[in-house]
Amino acid sequence: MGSSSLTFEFLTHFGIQSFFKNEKRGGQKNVYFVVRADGSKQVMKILVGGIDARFTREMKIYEKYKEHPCIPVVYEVHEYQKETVIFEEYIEGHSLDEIESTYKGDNDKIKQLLRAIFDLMTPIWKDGVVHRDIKPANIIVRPDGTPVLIDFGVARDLNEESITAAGGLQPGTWKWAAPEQYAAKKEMINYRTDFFSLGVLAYYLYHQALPFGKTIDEINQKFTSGDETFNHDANCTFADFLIETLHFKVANRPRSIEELVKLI
Amino acid sequence: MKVLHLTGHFQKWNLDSYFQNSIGDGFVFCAYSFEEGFFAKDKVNGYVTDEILAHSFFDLQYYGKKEGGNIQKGKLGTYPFHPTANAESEEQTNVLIESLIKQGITYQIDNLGLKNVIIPNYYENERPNDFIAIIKSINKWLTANKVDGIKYFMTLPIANHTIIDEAKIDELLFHLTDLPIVFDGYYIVCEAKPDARQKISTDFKYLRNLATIFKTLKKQKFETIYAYANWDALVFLSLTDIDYITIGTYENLRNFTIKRFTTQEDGGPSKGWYFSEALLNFVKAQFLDLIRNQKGIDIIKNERNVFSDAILVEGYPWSNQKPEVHKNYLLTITRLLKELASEKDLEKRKKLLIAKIDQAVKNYEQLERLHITLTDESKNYHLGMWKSFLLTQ
Repeated sequence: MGSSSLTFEFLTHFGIQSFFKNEKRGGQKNVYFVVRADGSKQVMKILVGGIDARFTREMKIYEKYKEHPCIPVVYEVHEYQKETVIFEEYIEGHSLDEIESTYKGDNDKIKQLLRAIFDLMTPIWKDGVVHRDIKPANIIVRPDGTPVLIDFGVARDLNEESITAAGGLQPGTWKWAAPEQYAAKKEMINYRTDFFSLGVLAYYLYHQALPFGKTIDEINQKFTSGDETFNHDANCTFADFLIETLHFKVANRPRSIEELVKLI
Repeated sequence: MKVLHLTGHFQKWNLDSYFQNSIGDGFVFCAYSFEEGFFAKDKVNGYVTDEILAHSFFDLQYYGKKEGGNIQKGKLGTYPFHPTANAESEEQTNVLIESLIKQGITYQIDNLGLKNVIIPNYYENERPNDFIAIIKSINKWLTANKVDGIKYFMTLPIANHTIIDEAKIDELLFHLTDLPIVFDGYYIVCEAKPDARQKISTDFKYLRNLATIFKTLKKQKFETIYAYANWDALVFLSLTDIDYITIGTYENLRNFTIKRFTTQEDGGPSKGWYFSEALLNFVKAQFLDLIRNQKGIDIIKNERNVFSDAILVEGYPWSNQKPEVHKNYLLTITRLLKELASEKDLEKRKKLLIAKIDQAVKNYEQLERLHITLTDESKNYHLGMWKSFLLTQ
């Protein structure tokens, strides 16, 4: 349902006074930006189809990292008329995809962003959790430049025995996905899958283009061919980071987070 | 790069060549040939045991199938914690296997006083996931039980059908280089399966995938030991800084095959082989009279090598039981390996080996012009593939 179709009863039930941004609608959830009765700005998510494995996984991860300053806090989860309604912290700032052009050719700004993402992901990676969907739309940049990572819906805790999520591509992630995701090799996905996505992200921010092709078919063909070469601007000062994170074979990417950091 | 003697029976040859001829940098003793308690005495073949062990590794050789009943024991059964001593008629459980591995680790530290421990592991032919599960489980245990000052090398026995499968190798490397891994390095044992009447494999997939293993593990800062290495170690060393390469006298120490641990195999009598640095190959002893008759000895002769000088004299009573036959190989291959390793630039190192290959091809051609046609293992069946492979890397 759109904000206009949310019933009065619904708004009253949850103490929603107003909306301060346009909603975002997706295949699995609709996201609203609401002002609650206490005046606080919050993000309200309504899951299409109710609770599923993806939601359960996401909630577990939010619960695990509720003290983490760069992951949104989930305030409330409700079942309401067969729908799941979640209220979580609203992060002031811009989604990275809204401001991506401001990073073009800016080595320092990109490196600063990467370092901050490394910092926020380090405890998560070390816990054996992989985000699997790192992309500009899932990074909120606060006014002070600090990134916050959202949408752990496809994150995977590698310590869990039973993983039901697909190992392959999620909708909208193909630009940033690693070869093992293209090949749907679920067993080959780990923290180094996120390293690859960060490599693509860094390349994209600098060049405003993707390293291995413009379309899903072009990228897939490149991955299948095994040809890891890509062009990069001679003035890019983090080329080593790109080369090492963008290896197609997982085992060739940096093994440790410390190694990753050294490349920047 | 250090050269280690992979030592089985006739260990005296290895010890003599190390202490008297400065061949090699240490030893890997194979449990198959050394019973439990062997190193309790003060001296071995006249050399101080402590001095030997200070430069040694110990391969407990758990390779035989986990199922009991078909393991060739040698001296393996003298180790109370060895799988062969625990082989029941029913299949061994993973719990028992892991317990035996841990006891094998402890034995090397507590009883032998070794600073470098080879973690014994099984050859797994059919269930690679079981193999990976054991590695992960032992790694988890080691994370909490590492002893300071000890380096731990996990054994990787790689079956032939695994090494020729790129996807399997990718998956294996994925796990071996995972973040939680705390091993200092890997002891790599690879089943090459050369074709009939050949001593080394010329399978491109074998060369490519084994080279990938060395390169990847090295890149991820693991130390690598290439065990049971043949002289194709030259090819792998020309592409990667392998940390240790083993050299061995008899073929069972230079060509890993699981059969040795599961069935009774006898190599049979042999007059022996002459390893020629000029041909980068073994030449069967029976060819030497022909080569001498056609005045080709100088083409194949190893330079500055007292063992070669001794065995190339006319009328030498060739036998595979004579130490100088083997010491010729030990010295020659060690020099070749050291020469390659001394070139630090890997691109130049590769070119250096290619130049040696080109020269070896010319030497074979020169022998042909003298009407010396070497056959079977002695012919040039490998140099073309070596060069082609190196040029693709």
